[in-house]
Amino acid sequence: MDSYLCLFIKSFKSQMVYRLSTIFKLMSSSLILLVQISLWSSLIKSGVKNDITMEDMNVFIIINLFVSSLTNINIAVEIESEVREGSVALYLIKPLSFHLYWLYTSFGKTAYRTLVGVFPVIIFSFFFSGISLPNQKIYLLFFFISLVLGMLIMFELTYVVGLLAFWVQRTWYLSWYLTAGTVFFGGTVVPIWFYPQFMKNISYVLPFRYISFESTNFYLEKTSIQNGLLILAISLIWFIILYFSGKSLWKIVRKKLMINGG
Amino acid sequence: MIQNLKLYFYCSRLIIRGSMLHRFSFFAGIIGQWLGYGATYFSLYVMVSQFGTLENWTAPEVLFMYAFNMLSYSLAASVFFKPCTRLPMRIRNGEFDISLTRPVNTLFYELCIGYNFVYIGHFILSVVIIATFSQNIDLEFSLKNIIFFIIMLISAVLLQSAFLLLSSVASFFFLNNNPVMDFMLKETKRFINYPICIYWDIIQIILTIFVPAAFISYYPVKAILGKEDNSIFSSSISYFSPIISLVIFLISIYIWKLGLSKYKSTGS
Repeated sequence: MDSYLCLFIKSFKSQMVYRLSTIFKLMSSSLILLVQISLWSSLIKSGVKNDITMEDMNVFIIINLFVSSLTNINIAVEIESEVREGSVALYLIKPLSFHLYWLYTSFGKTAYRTLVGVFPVIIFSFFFSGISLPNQKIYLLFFFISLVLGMLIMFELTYVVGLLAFWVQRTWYLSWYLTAGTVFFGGTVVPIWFYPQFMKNISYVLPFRYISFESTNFYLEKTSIQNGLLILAISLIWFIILYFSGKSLWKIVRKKLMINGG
Repeated sequence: MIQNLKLYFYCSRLIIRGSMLHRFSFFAGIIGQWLGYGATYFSLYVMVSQFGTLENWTAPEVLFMYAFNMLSYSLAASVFFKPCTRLPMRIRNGEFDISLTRPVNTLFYELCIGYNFVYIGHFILSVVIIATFSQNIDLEFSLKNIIFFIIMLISAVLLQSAFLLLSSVASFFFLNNNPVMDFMLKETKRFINYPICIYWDIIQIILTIFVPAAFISYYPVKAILGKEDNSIFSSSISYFSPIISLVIFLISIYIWKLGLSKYKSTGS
């Protein structure tokens, strides 16, 4: 366990080299916030819908920025190049798991990027807009659990896509499908509250809304506690499904590597 | 001139054939792009139509503008994206020096070998969106309107190209892109996805006067639709888009040539 934590810390620290790009990321995050808030205040000026107020949207935009940044894990490209070049074979002789290696490395990267490139903007917005933590502290707990599960689901999704490179050579177009799914059913561009009913129903059975939307929803206390437990359960189920898919794919890749000699 | 055009079309045909070598991944990628961007269009439509209007712009009009932005970008990027974004790398590893030895204009040569066919997906999608939503916004399919549209589109393409060129020019003087310029040119594009009248006055001023990204899609589309909204600038400046874009484009070409004349190779 120790060695994996080291991987996390190493990956986290390795991002410190990009000092200038971090400053730009901060400015970028601020601009994203600005665009979103301008957009939604203009929209809501025309009329309140579905009991969503501008305060709700402000909180949504700010928390969504944070959650989206943290769940912005895409290791498909890195894994794809390792699989295609065969350097995947190196992991077979190392005393660590390919899966866990990538888990801790990617989490380290995203933690740094969010902490340094997004979090300061969030803190500033907290003071500026007067939004606060959820009233019922149970929702804060739900928020954190959902956040971690969301990161794990996103990781597993891109892990599976990356492994598929073994069969399809290039995975760049698969990433587009993943993006499409996240935009259509993930509720990050437009909150799912505004979707037509049939889209809402479909989104419940797909993993995308559990990546970032549900966490933000918990923070806004828009889900009842009973439903909240159901949501967390479904998130967990999706993670388990994707985890075992990843594991099986990896077993097949290993077998093929050992048979073909890499 | 005709010779140059023939040369350019010959080169781009070769590149297109190269892209189509891997048929399956090419088409799968195009469909993926359609789904990915289609999702964005869908979300945008849901968002604006739920609330009725966005500062007097209806949902079809907002989508029309977004698609116009994408259309102009796909045309400009298919020609300028690779030459501009690869320039720093090519200068660093010495490949760029080969372009200097060719018997044609250096910039022209860079464009010939840098044609990018991948944007065909963006092109088709944006044309479909524009065609679909023109019906919803009472845009008559008359000759006058078509010509006006094409003029505004050319204006937008020139300005998109100018932005791409200017972001790469710094690599003639330093070995890398100037991050500040890069940031300015890229990040302002983020704002022009929506009508700029939704932003604070100061942002509208920046986007119109200092980094005139608003002339890429907002002002041309405003002119095409004959739209009135409460932006701080009068609607009549929309009609100056072609002149402004042309001037900025010529300036960017001039600066590129200036950079080239000051260029000292890395010697590798």
